[in-house]
Amino acid sequence: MEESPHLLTERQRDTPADDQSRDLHTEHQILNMGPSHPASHGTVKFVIELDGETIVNIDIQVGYLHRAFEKECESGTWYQAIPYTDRLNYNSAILANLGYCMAVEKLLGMTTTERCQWLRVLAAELARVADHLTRCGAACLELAAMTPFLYGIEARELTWDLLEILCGARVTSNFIRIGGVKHDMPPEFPNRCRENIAKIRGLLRDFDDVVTENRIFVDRLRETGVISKEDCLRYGVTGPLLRACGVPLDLRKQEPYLVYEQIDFDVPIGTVGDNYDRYLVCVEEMHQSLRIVEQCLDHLEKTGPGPVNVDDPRVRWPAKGRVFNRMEELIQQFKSVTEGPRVPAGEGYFAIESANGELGFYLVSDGSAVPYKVRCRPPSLINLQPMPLMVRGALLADLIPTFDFINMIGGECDR
Amino acid sequence: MPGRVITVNRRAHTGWMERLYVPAIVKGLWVTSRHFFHNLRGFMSGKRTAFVVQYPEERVDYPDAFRGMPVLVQLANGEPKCVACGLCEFACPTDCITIVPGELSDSGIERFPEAFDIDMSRCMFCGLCEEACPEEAIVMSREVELATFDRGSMTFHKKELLVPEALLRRRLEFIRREYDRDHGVPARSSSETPS
Repeated sequence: MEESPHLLTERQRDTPADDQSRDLHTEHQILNMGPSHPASHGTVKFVIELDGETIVNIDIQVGYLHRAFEKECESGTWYQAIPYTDRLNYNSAILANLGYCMAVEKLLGMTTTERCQWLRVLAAELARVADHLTRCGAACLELAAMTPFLYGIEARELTWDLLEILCGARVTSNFIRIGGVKHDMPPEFPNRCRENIAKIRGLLRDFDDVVTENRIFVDRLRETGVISKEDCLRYGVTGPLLRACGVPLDLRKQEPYLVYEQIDFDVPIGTVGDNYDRYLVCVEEMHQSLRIVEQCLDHLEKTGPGPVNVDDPRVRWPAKGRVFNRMEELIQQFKSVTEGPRVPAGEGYFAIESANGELGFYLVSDGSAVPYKVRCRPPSLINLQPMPLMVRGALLADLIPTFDFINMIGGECDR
Repeated sequence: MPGRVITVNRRAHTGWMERLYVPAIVKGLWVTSRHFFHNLRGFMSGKRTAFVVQYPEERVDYPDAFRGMPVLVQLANGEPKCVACGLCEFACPTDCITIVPGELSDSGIERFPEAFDIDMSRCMFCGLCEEACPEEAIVMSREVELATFDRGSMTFHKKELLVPEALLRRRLEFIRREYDRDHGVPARSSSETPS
């Protein structure tokens, strides 16, 4: 039916016919999502420009959890910053501990003992499993799948139980020390660890059965949040996001630190770079991490007890028994606690492969016992940058899984 | 270096089995009902298999390494073991410990804390005070239920912090076992009790 010309406005008459949909007086809607939204874990605000249900543009506003971590580290001695690094990523505190301590050790020019390195790898891989479990579990939860979330969280509890036995705390582990670890693993740890790993594997199998081939889950993830390899590299994206695009960059292989060279593990990569690939990469990484943990346990049991701290009076606090009874060690304890180690003047950067990507610490020392500058390269913040590229043109609902698999952790992103 | 790069197994397109929804639903129901009946059987037989704990009626046993609220060790004569040296004050990253030292003239110990306050709203349970203490006087207890109705009562004074040594046996043994090491090797340098 042809409309009579007088019903059209002047502007509509001048617009070409195929453009007339614009003339329904629609305009883009601005939607504020967050900073505290039930479908996004992490405190972040999205200002989304919507055309219907399609995302035209998105502005990501971070900084709600800024608590001056970097400045706070400058207020104490070098060792006093370690508990603060626990608070960066609530899923994998040990990885942040590790990054910071290894950066300080680099400035001090210190090599840790072999047993310490195996223990560090063991703890770090457990933390990585916990992180990936939260990422995949929470993603399922936000896609309205409650059951796999509970399996994931149950497996994470088992991981945290192990960390509690090892470090004394579930989340804020405070385990890694400059030049070593807090203490050796307790005697009951290896058996508990093997038991729990078997349970975690069972739960991962259930998790896999419930979602991996479930069409609703697959349809929500497949072809959403796609980003190309080139864009990832341009933005400096690292971690599972980059590996899902098919770039096998893993600092544990690329620049092996600790004893990763002696450990047999594979690096999973994806092909397309969508959320489904990210999910599959994370699941495979968990299996690889559990493999690493088992190898560490075998090695630690085989080699038996040994030194876990470097024999260096600058960073090692003396044995407690001698502090109680002897004057020299008591004086050394007073000096170590009140002054802390003096780190030679200079600057250094050390990066480890955390669960989210490259977690680096850039430290500047002026030769005193207090850090001059502690700069943290948070993978969360940098991985969040290309998010507009991933969701532009997609539906609003695709934002949720994309954001979940970026796994922005507020504490780490905002510091 | 061992290990290789593997590509994750991703099906290029969904087959008719997946498109049908039914196999996925059956598989999912099978997994969830297996969990359900497993836990039901445990519930009926009295040997609970469910992962959750009915807090506060039931509690888990924390491991030896567990770090709860820091407390002061109380000697048999009711006095704190602390000699007010102030090392925990130095070690604390959040400055939550405040010590006012006092002097004794009539005993072998010359100093004691006249006041010892810990602001538990600032404490982050890192355990550095315990590691720094040269007297085994401040230790991390197993106490974690610290909720209060007002901010003022989050500051714990000396009186509230004192815990008899006998109740802290497990933690003290842990400290003697784990912290008494020469860069990691068990030193056992002190067979006699600390003075």
